[in-house]
Amino acid sequence: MIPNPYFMQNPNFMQNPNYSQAQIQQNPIISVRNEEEARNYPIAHGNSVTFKDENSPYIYTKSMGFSQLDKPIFEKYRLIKEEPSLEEPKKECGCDGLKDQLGEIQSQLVSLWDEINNLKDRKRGKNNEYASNVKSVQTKSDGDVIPTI
Amino acid sequence: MLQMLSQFKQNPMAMLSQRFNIPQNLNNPNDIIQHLLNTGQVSQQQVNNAMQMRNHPMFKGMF
Repeated sequence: MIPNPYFMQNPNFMQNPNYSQAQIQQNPIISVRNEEEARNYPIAHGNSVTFKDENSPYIYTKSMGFSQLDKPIFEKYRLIKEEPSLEEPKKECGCDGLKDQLGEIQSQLVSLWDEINNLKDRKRGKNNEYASNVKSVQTKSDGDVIPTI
Repeated sequence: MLQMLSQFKQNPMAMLSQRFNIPQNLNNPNDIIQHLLNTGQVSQQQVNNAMQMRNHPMFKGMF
């Protein structure tokens, strides 16, 4: 289409806030009978119109930029019915499961602490036994200690 | 006023073309609407309303 010379002369055009904000104006969904009707639908610059085909499962969009030289952009989308899935929804990990896991971890920790305490006791006992057998201790010049049993 | 009315009855397109500065080479209704949109004489909302009215079952066969 030939750019119109009256475009900028119209005072209503400049007063329109839709143009001054430079933002694509969205419009409600328009029902059309076929794709051709959507393609031929008149659309203003800086506007986008969505169409719903009444006779086939398609949605069309037609958008126009702000420039007079911009060509309309036409897009076609096919609607696909989504079937409900037959798989059972996965059970989420509830509080009961978490409590079981926590109890298991707690019992493992308790047994580990018991083992550590046993090892400590055994080490302490060995040290005492060792200390009671030592008669004298010689200290070398480099700081090493030599026990005499 | 009566003269204007008779003029309009005789040639409605000529009067409308003059009123809205529609170029003579535009004959297709969609082209005329596009021109009115481009010149800011009508808004997209007004066009949408008019088109929806045209597609309404009440006006079936009139356009």
